[in-house]
Amino acid sequence: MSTVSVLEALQSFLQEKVSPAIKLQKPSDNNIHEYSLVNPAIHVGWLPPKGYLPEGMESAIPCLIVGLDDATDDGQDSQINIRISVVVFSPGFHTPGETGVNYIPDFKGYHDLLNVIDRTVAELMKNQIIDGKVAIQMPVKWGMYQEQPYPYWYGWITFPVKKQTYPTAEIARQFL
Amino acid sequence: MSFKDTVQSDLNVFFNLDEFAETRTIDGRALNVIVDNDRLQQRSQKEYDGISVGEILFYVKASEFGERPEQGTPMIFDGRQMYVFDCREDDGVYEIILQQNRGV
Repeated sequence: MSTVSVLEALQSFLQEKVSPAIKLQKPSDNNIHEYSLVNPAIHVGWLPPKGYLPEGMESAIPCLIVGLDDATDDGQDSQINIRISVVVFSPGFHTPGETGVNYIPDFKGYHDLLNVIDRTVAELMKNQIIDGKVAIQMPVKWGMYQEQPYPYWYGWITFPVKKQTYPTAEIARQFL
Repeated sequence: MSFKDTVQSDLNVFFNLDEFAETRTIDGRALNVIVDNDRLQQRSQKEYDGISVGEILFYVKASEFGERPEQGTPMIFDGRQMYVFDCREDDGVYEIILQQNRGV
């Protein structure tokens, strides 16, 4: 199984198990009083470039980005270290008002971030074999970055996965 | 007329809406400010995938604005959630630089 297939299997898993269960604020950089909720997008690798959102995707953020930290294959085991980056937009507290939306900025956006991370970790722990091909290994770790680009909040989840090792050459099998 | 009064009367010319100033909404208040568009920038935020940084610099009369804002204070400028990057006071005028993290 190729590395790309592993990343795509994880993307499909998150699209099925995590994204439909969560609604988060859609970014409103030009008018903070606009408030709407969307399901988080699931990307592989990086965020899509500006103006090139995949069809049907409302917003690139909020999202989970399935990425690769590094990988090893020692002939016995093949392991890929996965990093899921989590990005949410959470500038403050919105409430319905008589003349529109009332809004008070705050720095509690990390609550939304950690709730998405917790939900994702819970699903990963419940489903340690994904698509019959990818085996999630322990430990699953998660955290937040020290500095945050408010009103956006960034966090991460890391864990190793095992996949079938590539076959070794006949000559290596005889001598090792 | 004292020197202070002279400076204040000059400020009234600069912050006249028919001259340089324009009305902008800051934290829900309509204030007469001078926006220095030359300093308006947007650059990519290298540390975070998908985030760029927008900046705006404006001048406002300290007497009209009130207490000098501290660095890092959130400020809503014409509906944009920004924060104070820097603020200096000179002869009764604040020079305020705001920054905004913007998504893709």
